[in-house]
Amino acid sequence: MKWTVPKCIASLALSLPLVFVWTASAAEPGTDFLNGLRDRGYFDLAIDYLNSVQKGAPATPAFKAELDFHRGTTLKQQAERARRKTERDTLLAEAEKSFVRFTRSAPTHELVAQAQRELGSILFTRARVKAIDAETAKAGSEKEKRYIEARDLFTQAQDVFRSSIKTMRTQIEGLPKDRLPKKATPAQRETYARRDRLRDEYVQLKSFDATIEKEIAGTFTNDKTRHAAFQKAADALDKFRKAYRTRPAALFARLLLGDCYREMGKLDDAIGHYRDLIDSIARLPNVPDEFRKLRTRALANSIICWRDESQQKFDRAIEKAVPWLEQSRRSDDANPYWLELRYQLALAYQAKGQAKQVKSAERVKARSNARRMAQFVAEQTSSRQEDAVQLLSDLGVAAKPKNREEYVTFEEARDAGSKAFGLFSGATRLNLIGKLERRLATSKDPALLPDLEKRLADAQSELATAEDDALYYLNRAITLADPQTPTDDVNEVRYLLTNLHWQLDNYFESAVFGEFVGRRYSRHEQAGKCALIALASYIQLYRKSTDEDRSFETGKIIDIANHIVSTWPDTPTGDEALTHLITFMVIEDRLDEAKAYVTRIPVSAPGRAVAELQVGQALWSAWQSKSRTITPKEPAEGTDADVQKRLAAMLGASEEFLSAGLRRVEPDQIKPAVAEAVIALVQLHLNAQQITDAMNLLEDKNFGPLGLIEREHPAAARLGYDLRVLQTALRVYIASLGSAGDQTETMKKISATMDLLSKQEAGDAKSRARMLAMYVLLAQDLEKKMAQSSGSTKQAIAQGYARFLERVGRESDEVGALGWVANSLVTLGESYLKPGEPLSPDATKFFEQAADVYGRLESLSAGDTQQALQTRVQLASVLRRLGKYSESQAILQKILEKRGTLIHVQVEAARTYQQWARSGGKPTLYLNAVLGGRRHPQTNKFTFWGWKNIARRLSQQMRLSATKLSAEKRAKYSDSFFEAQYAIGVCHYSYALRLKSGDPKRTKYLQKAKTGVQGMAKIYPSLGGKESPWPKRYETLLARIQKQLGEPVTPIGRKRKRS
Amino acid sequence: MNHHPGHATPQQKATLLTLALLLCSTPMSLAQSIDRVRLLTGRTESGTVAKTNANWIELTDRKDVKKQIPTPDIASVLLAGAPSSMRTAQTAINNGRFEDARTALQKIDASAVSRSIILQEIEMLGILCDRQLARNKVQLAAAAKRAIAFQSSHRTSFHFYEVAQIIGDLALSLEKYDGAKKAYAQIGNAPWPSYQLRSNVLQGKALLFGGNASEAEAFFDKAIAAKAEDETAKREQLLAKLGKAACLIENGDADGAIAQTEKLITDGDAKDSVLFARAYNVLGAAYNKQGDTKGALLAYLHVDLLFNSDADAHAEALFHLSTLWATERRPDRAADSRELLKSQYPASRWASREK
Repeated sequence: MKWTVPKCIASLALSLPLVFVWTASAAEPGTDFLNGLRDRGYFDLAIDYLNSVQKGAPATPAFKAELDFHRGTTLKQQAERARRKTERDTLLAEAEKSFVRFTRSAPTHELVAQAQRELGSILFTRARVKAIDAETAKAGSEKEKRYIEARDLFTQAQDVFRSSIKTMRTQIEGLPKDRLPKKATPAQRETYARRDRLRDEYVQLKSFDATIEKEIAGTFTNDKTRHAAFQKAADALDKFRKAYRTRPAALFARLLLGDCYREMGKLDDAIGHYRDLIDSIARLPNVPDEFRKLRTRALANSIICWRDESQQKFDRAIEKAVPWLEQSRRSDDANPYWLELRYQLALAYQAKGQAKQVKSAERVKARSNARRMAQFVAEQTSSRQEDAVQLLSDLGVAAKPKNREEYVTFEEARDAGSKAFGLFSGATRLNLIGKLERRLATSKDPALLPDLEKRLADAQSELATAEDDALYYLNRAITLADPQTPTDDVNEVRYLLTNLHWQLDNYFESAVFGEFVGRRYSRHEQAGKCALIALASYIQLYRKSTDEDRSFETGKIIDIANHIVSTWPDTPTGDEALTHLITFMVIEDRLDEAKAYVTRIPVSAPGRAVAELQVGQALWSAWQSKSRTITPKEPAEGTDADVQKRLAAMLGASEEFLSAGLRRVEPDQIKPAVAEAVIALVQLHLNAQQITDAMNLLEDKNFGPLGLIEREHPAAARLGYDLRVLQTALRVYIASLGSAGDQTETMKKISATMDLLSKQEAGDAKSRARMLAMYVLLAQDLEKKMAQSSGSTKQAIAQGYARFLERVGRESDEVGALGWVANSLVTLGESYLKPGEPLSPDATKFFEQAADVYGRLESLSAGDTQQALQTRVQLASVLRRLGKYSESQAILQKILEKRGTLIHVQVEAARTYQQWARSGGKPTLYLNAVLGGRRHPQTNKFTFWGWKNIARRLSQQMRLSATKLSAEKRAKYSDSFFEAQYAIGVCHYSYALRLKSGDPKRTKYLQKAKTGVQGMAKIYPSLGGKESPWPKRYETLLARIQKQLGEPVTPIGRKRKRS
Repeated sequence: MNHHPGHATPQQKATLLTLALLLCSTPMSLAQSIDRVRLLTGRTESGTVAKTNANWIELTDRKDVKKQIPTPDIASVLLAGAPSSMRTAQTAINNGRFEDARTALQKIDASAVSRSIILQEIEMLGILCDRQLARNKVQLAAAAKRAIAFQSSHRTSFHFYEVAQIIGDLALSLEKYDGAKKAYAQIGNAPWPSYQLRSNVLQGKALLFGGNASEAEAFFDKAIAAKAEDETAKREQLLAKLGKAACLIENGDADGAIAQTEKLITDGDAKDSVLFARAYNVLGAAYNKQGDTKGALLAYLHVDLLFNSDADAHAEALFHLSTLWATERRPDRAADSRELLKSQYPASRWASREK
């Protein structure tokens, strides 16, 4: 038979069938009071009472002398009702100490023997628990260790019982030995009655002594030692049996004797003892129920022997068991001993059904009987139920489910409901359904669909059945509970119902059950959870209510939240309730109530600071959420003034509560809620541009979140806290740039924070995306700051900016972000360009980074999309800046071979020629810049038009589309046109200068350049307008040309005066 | 004062015994002709009840000799010619089955009863039933009204002082403390010191419950200072000491109250359930005053578990237990106490204090 730990205590009574009844004087009010407290389960108060008597509360001297005895008894009874093993163990250990104290302090007290027995029974119980632990442990040193511990405890229990036997023998010896006189006085009657009672208890103790020998034998794993130990136990039990053969305990000893022989493999001897026991009981005129159970056990154990391979006496087993079972009563059906007998009989039938020597017809009949018997056991809740189900499975049938009406006890209904609830709420089935649904949605093989659909339907049907069963059985358990049902057990069912209704969205029901347990049984281990579910349910009811009047829901939310906070203060349960309540109030725009709720908590109460911090945080979150719905740039006048007012009030209140809460917290009381609140306040300061306040708080030596992380403070251990702090810190430091203070130092902090962040970051793709988005925003902030700065400040900011760009460029896969990074790097590089000077190392670095990013971007931008085209052009442009002209032209050529009319690409190609020539390339590259180059493999025409063709095309374009073009586009064309014409002039001029001074082509190209510039000035006198750079540039160019030609410099657009 | 449904007060017991003996033990011949008065000493006086008043019963024997028997000496009175349904009512009341008693009383045909003294006794039984079965203030008030009517109609009844105490108890339940004091004061008019002593104790109690601790203390002091010659008077003095201890609590001396009450408990006889119930209630109040919730709980639990025969004391303990359990964050136990209070003593002043 399998034993579970809670049954172990019951097993004590089963294996030691002798019940101790302490018969204290009923006239002792202290004892009566204590019994009353214990009967009601007020063990805590019973111990308080004993303590108060010890301190002088009124009680009789006799009672005062027995305090430790009563304390031990109280603790032992409390242990028997404890649900958790650890609690039970602690209580038993305390009880043990109390009994030991009592026996030592009052060795002659008449209750000493009783105390010793109680002590022995505690040790026995602990030993049994340990032995069961050993049975369930895997073979090896741990199993052996537990058996040794169990044996040690059994031995201790035996010593205590033996000591009690000795004490009792002394007490009995002092009492009369003869029979009660016929004309006895009341005092004599009492003396003789006491003697008889002591004699009974003495025999019980002797029985315990022998019984423990058997338990000790069971702790040996070595065959030889084990055999010897069982022989020793058998001898002790036999001795006891013979010495007290007229006592009922002798019958029990006989059963154990049989068990010992069975353990030793002496099956015939074992069967003989079982048979004698059965016959002895059968001879009794009136058989008490306990003896019927004993007979049943003997019979079941006999069958174990008969089924053994060496015996194989199935028919004997059947012929003995069947008539006895036929005499069973209805009340025996659920009894574990009777179920064990039926199970053993089922096994005997099964063995017969498999025996080859048995005739075929009989085998069939035996198997049928085996099924019938196993089915009976499988329908009852017992430790053999699972075995019976397995046996049925072995016999080829499934266990027939019990009808709902057949669950007639609280325990049956509770177990069935609990099992169904487990099936309903278990993750496995839900996961399976989710998995099947996803596979159905994505499966491309139509052949698989029918099977998937069937499996999904089956899983859903099982889930629905589990839900229905859970509801039915749990409700039935509640109706079957009676006053004797332990309250904790009923509340466990109520908790499951609370949870079930919550999961089924039956919020009213979950609220009612949850609130009942949470309020009425707040000591129950699930009470806090029940109350929280009730609170959450009322919040759901509030949200779902369509009534205008929601005062019921509101009242309930506040009531239950208050109850939770006051019942479980300073616990995660209390904190959660507070958060729910405050959040509820804030979300519902009931800020005043939220604030009022906080102020209701006394300033001296420990929860006040927590409440303030939480309400401050909730307000801050609400402000963030609500302010997003209003366009930030929109002026206050343009939005609803009330909304603005409320937002401002919300923000102000948030700061007020956070600051007040923090002021109340001592540095040694920093908890996670405090740490979170500090971040909120830092963010709030940052938002209000109170950068110094933000930085001071961030770096505060006591509360500063950076310090908390560095010190690995437990309050900073919450998942994701580090990341949030570092992100906030980064924003604060960046915000501080450009203001007073050491910029280099700040940059160092930024750099250090980013290093820390790079170590912290992990998480999923979404988190990374959020982080990068934040970097982009921060970089944009920096860009603005950089534009507004100069000198070393600008230099410092630029470094930080570059770092961000580098980071985003390295880690982002997002096209938009990468494009922005590359462009920003180009801009940054350009800021280091100085006219006429070679490329600086800084500029080179940024352009190279930009080229890398464009390269990655190109690989991400597939095909010939506009984006891809743009990226390639930009890459070509950066390569040009880096002096990688061939690579640049190769890219541009590929584009223009396909789409030769793209003006802006042609412009880039012309620029490449021009810059290549300027940076030391062949002089003729200037002519290519003007006239074009790189022939098209098919048309043999120049793929690159050159500035001249570009200018012509632009001119045509401007004329053709003059009326259709938008002003913006026209301006753009116009600009490109003037640029092209100017570039022609520059190229001719530069080419001429690269020629030797005597070369006639030199003057020719200088003249060409001059004519071109002057021609432009003649045709377009404004040269693109005063606002544009072109008039000035044209004029400068003309002056240079004239200078080279040796002509006087004349203003552009004016004729030179004849001299 | 309310009483536990299953238990009768000493006065009730005397009344019940009177009638029980009348119905159970008297042979028909005797019942038809002779009244018998059993004394507390065990002796029985026979004759015809010729006259009664608050202080005595006058019996006239066969020789026409008149004899006055003082009320405090009377254990029971057996009246000749009483209807048989009274027996059922008596037995039911003796066993705490007041509903059955009331039903039995309703079956009596009053017109067939010729003797006015028997009618008085039937009415007295009705008052006892009304008082026990009252479930709300309206019924309590009706019971009080009936008792007052009895007293005014039968000023010569030997139940006069007993009814005065019933009226006082009902007035206390109705929180009419002045009325209670007035009723209890009537007992003090009796010529016997033990009755005067009891009157002082009860008046002190009414004043104390009414919130007048200083005046109450004076009554208790008077009772304590009185000369107590018999066990009844000595017991009344113990009750007076408890009353005084309760006054000490009100006057801010909880320590003194605890010391006095604990001494009384240590020296007292736990078989006196009523006295011990009151003692533990005083102890509970003192601990409560000191903020010692555990101590208070233990004291009141003594009443709930051991000394629960006095209905008013038990109701008081249950009321305080429900409050204290709530303070100790044991709402389950608080609810149990509250439910017991409301189910067992629905008309008690303590039940009406519960929200």
